Amino acid sequence: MLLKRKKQENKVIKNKKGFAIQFSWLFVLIGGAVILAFFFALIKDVGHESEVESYSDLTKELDNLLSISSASRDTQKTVLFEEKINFVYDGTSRYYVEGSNIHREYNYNVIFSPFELKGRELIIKTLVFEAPFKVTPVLYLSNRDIEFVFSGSSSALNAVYTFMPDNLTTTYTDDIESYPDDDFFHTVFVVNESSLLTILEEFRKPEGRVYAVVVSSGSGTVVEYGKLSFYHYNPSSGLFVYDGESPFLGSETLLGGVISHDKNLYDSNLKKLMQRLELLSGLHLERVKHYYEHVPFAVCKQNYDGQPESARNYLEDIRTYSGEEVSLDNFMILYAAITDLRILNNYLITTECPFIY
Amino acid sequence: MRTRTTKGQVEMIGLIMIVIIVIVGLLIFTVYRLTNQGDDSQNRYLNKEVATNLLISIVNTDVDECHNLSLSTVLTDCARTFSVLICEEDRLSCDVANETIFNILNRTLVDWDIGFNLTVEKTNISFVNLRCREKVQGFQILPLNPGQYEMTLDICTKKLE
Amino acid sequence: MQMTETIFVVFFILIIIVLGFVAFSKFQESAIKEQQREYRSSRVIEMAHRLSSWPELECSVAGASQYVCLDKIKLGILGDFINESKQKSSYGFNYYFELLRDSKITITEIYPSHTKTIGKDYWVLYENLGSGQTTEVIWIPVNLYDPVTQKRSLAIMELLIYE
Repeated sequence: MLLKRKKQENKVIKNKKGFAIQFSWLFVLIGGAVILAFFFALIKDVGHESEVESYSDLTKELDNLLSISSASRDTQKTVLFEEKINFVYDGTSRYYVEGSNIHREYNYNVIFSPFELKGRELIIKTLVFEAPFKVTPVLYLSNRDIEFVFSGSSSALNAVYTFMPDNLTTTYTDDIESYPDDDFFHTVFVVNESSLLTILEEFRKPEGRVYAVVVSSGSGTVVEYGKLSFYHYNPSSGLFVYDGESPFLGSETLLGGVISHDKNLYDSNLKKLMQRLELLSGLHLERVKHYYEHVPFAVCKQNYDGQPESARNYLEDIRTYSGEEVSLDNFMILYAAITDLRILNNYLITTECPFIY
Repeated sequence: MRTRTTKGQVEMIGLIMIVIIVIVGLLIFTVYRLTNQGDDSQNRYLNKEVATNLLISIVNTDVDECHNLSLSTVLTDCARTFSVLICEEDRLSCDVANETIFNILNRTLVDWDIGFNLTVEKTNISFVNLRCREKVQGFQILPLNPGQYEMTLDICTKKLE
Repeated sequence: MQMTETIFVVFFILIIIVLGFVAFSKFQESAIKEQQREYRSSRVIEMAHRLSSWPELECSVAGASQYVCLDKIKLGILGDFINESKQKSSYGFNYYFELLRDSKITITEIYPSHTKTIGKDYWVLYENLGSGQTTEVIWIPVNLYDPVTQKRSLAIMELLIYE
């Protein structure tokens, strides 16, 4: 009886042990699966985060480059940058690294660039737009994968060529029709007459990469204002299609039009420039009024607010016409006022009178 | 059987104690790290650049009491072996420079309760108010024709407790 | 019983790991905040130094690029302009807001005049108070040039940055 009871007890114990062993295996299996799942999720998260971080780093790098370049004057730098950058204007000026959803707005900085930039490096040139006082730094972005082909002869074309950033791919040709296709990312023909824009016999796949800018001076040999006409090449018709025209004021915007070779982007930057000019001319105007009231010498006063011509008149013209719609006629008046103000200020520098700028 | 049960309970108690010690330790560390940020919400930025820029601005200031000449001109005259400049009310360049620098320092570093030490070589101009361990130094080298002299400014970045 | 022990052991280990993560992330957070603060300070200091090369503030006197120099008359005019455009929420204010964000910039003349009279020797160039309580104060010594009297005075530009 006792033996039977002991046997029964041992059987129960063995069953319990067996049951316990099975259960602990199950527990370990579930625990292991949970831990593995946790680590897989962590790795996936880290992988996604590193990709986002990488794009974020690239955007920050570009931000820093542009910010540092804006602070320099009349400089140029070439930096390695292998990612494609897109520039957009749809009411807001934005740029972003292709593949990233981080878009950077630049509604107040003037950056002339093509709508897409792809290559191994970035060439950034900085000039300061003056009219005639310093207005704002202007950045030009390009690279060697964009080819600028000059054709024709005029003082405006010569001026653009002189101001082109160093190390860009620039060439000259007499014959656009048989110009060879070297498969550049963009090819931009810069000419002084639209009649020079012919069919391109040698270009194999010109879709979306061939453009043209026609530069027309405002009057005679003057290169300080004029008109830019933008074209893009349509291979099916074999013609350069007209995209529109915009005026330019000063060699800074002339260069900007060629570097951009895109009317929409060019117009957006021109608008920013004019807004800034309007703001600054207003401030200079207030300052000139202050001089008129506080400078004791009559010989100085007449330069600030005398008739028939004075700093006040010129500044009012600059403020008015920079605030109006951009047009060749307005730019012609602006150019005249800017020139007159420059002459006046240069004269004041030789006297004891406070300068205008 | 009884020994294993007792050991198991002891292990459990030991584990709980470790967890409690770790929690308390981490809490103390975190609280210490978060509270040791700074005493006030206004964190002042003082560095070598501020010291140097202050010196540059001081020497480029025009002195009212000395025919509106720049302080660097007045100091240079003071640093020469034989001063030639006579300021307004027949005052010497060294006296005017000393007074001007004193006024400026009074309205800036003294007002802000920042310790400093300013000296101008080859002159008797020296203001000592340094009461700290950590400081930054700015200096300006000014021409003497021939030669040069130095103006040094040490600024405290942390007060002596 | 052994199984129960194992469960408890694993549970407590998990608690320790979680607590470790929490402590580590708190530590990281305070380190990141400190980095952000330093980055913000250096960015604002760089911007403040650049103020002296703004066309709307720069001194029109020879050699002025050697030191931080602001035109006294331009200072008053720009301060009034920014304040007026802030009331109208126009392009002018938006332009400066893009650069200066939530901050306050004041310029106080130290020598020769030191009466802190607005428009005479004290100017509020820009003011846009942030919602944050914490501020950082940065002082930058500058020279002010009066083109009418042709005199240079000493001033302190104070920047308050709001978080």
